Amino acid sequence: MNTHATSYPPIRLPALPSLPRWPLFLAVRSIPEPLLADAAARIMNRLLGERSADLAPLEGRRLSIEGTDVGKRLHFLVAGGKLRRGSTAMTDLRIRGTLADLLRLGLRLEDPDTLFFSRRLSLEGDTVTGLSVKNLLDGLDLDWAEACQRLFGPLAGPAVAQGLHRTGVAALLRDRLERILGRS
Amino acid sequence: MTRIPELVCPAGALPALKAAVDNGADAVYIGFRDDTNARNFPGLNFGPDDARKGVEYAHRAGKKVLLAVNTYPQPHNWPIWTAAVDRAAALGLDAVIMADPGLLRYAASRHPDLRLHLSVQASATNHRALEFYHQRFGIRRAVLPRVLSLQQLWHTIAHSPVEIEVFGYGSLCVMVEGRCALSSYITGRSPNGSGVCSPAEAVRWEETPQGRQSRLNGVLIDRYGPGEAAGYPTLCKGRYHTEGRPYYAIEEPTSLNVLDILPELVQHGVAAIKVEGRQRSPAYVASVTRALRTALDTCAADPRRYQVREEWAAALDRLSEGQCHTLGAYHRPWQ
Ligand code: SF4
Repeated sequence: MNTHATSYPPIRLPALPSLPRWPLFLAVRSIPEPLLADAAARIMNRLLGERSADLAPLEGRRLSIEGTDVGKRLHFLVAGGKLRRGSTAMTDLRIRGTLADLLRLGLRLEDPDTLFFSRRLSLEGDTVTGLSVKNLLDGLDLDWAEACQRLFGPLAGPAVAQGLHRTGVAALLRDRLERILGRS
Repeated sequence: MTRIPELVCPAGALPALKAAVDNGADAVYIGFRDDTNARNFPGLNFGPDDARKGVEYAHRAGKKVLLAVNTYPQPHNWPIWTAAVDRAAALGLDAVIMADPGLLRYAASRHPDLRLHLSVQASATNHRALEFYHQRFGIRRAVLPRVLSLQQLWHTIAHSPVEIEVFGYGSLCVMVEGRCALSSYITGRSPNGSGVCSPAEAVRWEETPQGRQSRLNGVLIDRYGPGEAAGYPTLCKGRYHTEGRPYYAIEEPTSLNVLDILPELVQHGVAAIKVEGRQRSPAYVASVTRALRTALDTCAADPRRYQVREEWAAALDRLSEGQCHTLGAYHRPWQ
């Protein structure tokens, strides 16, 4: 028999009703597009951290992301190795989907190809840019171990990370997020 | 006791590698960030630093990392390919998956301890071909193309001097892999030469009033009506006007899935089952790995009582191209 460690131990979550989505929608709807774009760019640059070199292939590219159900279209530009708010002029790549699906994509809760094949996501424009964006997201190593190292130092960090891993906190968080977004 | 096949899962970047290891893969296969492997996509694959981290992560969990160096070098770029092999040996990778005989010879003579697997790109479909690669280069395993029927597969395994790895899940490539020149016809590039069959710079997606259209170098490959599931823009999965109506004349966009025949694969001694999709996300790798891991363990526990559970099939179908599945050539009674 083949045994292996799995990162999703069978913790049964208490059955919760799907959380109402509208506060998120209201918030996104009420914030002006430039502010949203600024915030999104800042988060992305922070996440990229020392991997900002991965943005190099996108240098000079203009992207737009459109939440079809919230009526928002955000414009971005990659310049000087950073993601920045862009102008509303031309774009190289246009990504469109519902807010929930865009968040699933950004938070890596859902496979982008699956969203694309099932027509929930549309990508138009330069395919090289599209693939680079997708692979950039897929390559982001949102690492518990590294985050813990930063928070708890090199000695305690790895132990804390191991512990978190075992308790399935990542799975729990993921589950909560999926509840908020509503299961696909 | 029958041996349970190794589960070999794809990773295009570090998060996918971790997802594979965490969800029960026995081995993960990766490629370097250049055209030495058959998934040469922008922003995909492992730089030196990530490769080192990946090997560390997998080895700590007692899992293997295999490296695909499975495209064919040309005389002018030969050193890039040999450098990839040297780097693999230095990084302590568990095996290198290769196709080019010259490169296989280089690896066998320069790094005698490096385990060699024959890539599907080498397109070896019979045991005599495998014997040749075994004798000449000491390959230990071969990945067979997705074109053999089950009868042909059993025959090959029974006579093969090396372990056999087969595809278990993922997008289909209908031609005898490694011999496909369809894409060169439109784009001038092919999987064996450039590591890609529909290069991104030749692909164009358009949303039109009639639906979503995909074009490869200007040639219309397919048009999907509203709500119709889309597929990869490869020439072989296009819809063409044949006998007056648009039709998948070569292959339908669908995924291979061997859940139904898992006990037979185990019983006939398949050494490893491979999941396609180094270009897919960590979410894909996690779900597919988990489903196949559970299926393999269930099959190992009691092959006679094995039955495909609905949740495995559903998890796999959801991620499939065309969102449906097939046994492909495995089930071709007429072959
Ligand atoms: S065109 Fe189709 S058959 Fe040819 S290599 Fe690409 S996927 Fe395979």
